[in-house]
Amino acid sequence: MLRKLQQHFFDGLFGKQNDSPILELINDAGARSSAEQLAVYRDSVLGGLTKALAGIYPVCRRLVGERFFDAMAGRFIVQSPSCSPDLNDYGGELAEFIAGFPPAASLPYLPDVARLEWAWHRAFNSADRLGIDLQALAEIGEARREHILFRLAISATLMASSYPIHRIWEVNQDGYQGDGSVDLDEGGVKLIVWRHALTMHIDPIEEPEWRLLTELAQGRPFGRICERFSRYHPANDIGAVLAGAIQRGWIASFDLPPA
Amino acid sequence: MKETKTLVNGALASVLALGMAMTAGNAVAGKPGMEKCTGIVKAGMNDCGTSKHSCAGQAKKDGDREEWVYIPIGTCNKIVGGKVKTAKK
Repeated sequence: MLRKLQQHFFDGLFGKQNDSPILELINDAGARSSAEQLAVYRDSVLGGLTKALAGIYPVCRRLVGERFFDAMAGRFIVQSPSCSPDLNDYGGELAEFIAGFPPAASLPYLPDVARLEWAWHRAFNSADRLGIDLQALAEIGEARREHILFRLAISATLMASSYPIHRIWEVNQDGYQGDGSVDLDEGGVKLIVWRHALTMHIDPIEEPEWRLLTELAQGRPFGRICERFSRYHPANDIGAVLAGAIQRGWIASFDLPPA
Repeated sequence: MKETKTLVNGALASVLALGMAMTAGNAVAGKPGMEKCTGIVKAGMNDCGTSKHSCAGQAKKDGDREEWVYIPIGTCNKIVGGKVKTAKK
């Protein structure tokens, strides 16, 4: 019974407005009809989620304007209601929604900007992981080293775009000095978005770094990564790339499976 | 796989030889990224929005009335070029 009631209430909020079974169950309250009373909740829920999305995607909102963004968010929310009790978990599918949203088709970079902002949001809310234990790394015997599984910072997201989304992000930050123009012909970019203590990072990365980080993000053991790296980037020293990635904080821990 | 062991040991030697301070995030050579301090909380995430959306009829109601705003009018007008790339997505 409760479940049915909740389902009716949900349908009343997110479905058709005037023929919901929930309306039959709401008592009149003075001058307010049951539909008007339900509308109070609908607007509160939609308003709260719209506000949450605006907080996660400030650059997208700035790019398209508040009215466009809020109208788009309204469509998104009805199509993708929250499935988590934590508001911080909501909104990750917006990039996919934008990619299929015809009014946004004139801005082909917008889904990737949304992905960047979601990565930022997740990094912001992620757990911390302490720096790598080099002492423990040094103590691994030579025979076992090829089995090491290096791990990215928990907060890290790797992403590639055909557009200079880091520049678009940068010029649309509050306080950016400059005229805010970006030429898409600057080309694409590969990024790692992560957080170190209280500082958020959006770092552009080069091809060899991308190779190393994506391979280890897939859980490949280090020996296998070395083989593949030397095949794809014979001119680069994986030791230098690895050391740089550890020093930057992109790689934050490692595991050694039991022998 | 002798070659693999050579690669692995060489790479780890590079890491260990640095004798790096354990503090990650030290500046190293490479393109500078973008950094931003996080502050304490992000705006918009920590309240339910009721202060602005508690009244019936205030928020968006249905799609049809919104059609006229489906034209982006933000800073996207400063993003130029890229015509050849639109087919790549």
